Amino acid sequence: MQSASHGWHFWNSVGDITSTSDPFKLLNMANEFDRAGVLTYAVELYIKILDQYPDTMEAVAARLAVFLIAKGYENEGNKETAIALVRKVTVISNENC
Amino acid sequence: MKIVSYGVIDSSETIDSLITGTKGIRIYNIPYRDIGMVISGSDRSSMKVNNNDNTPDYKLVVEHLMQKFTVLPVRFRTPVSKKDILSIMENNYYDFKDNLNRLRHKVEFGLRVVWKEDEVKDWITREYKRGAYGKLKAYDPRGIKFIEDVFDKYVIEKEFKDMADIFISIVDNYLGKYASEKRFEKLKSKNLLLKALYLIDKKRQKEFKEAFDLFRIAPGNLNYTLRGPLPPFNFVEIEGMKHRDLINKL
Repeated sequence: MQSASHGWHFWNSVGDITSTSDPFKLLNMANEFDRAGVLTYAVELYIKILDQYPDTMEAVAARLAVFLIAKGYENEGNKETAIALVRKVTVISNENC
Repeated sequence: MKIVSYGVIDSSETIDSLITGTKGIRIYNIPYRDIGMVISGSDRSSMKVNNNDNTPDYKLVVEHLMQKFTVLPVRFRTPVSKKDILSIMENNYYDFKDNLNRLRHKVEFGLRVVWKEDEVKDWITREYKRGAYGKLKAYDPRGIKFIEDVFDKYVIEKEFKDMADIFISIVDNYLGKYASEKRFEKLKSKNLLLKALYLIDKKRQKEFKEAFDLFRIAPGNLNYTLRGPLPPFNFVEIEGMKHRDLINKL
């Protein structure tokens, strides 16, 4: 790709030189944390996607991921955290309706 | 008389039994050291392993063997002679042993995840058109539209593949922890997001199936199907097999 001085300019809404959308960046990061088992950070980012980008494909993925994380908590006997998580997602979904 | 092979087992003990449910298939074990190749003889001219009519019989035999032995469910494209089988066993003994050890007490599950490809692409395109992604813009308008369009397509296609990777990762993050080995094929055909094979310890298969059941009620509008438990057809790795072209997975 040519540089801007050669007649090309590569831009996005936040001025990054990237071809990845903001929700996707968040999703990717959340997934990295999820795979590494750092669930607190992963959940925080998934929730952020659901909150800020509710009508995106990333939100669909985030909803699935949070659902599975909640189920994982439940399987480990940590039902309170699982319920709190599901509740949080429900509240966000209702707010965005 | 033709001889058909059903697989290699971790036993050299004598087998001579009629398999119930098949059209009169009697199986025998040809021993080689501490392992054996299970074969059947048939004088039926239609007895060709590649003939789909025989596939249920083949499965029944392998499943019957799996109840008692570890089975490498290889099969031969064409019926072979007893002499060939012995030389195959001799040449590949250590490969067979390695595989038998690796696959002992393991079963295979096949997972298919289907999504609506067009819907996903529409979604991504919508986001792209809204300016959520980086865009290539040219100062010089001559002939530039073409380049912009190519770039647009590239970004959407890349985003689509990246999105597929994320979905696969989310699914596997949950199911993969039960598996000792796994194989993935992604986006092999339209709407087929993932075709995964999981090698699961027999003791954990109930847990794995229960974990899969969760996907039936999972959000996301994806369709999941699970096949298994199956003999580990797709996890047999015979690297040194001289007659590899004769081996065909079911």
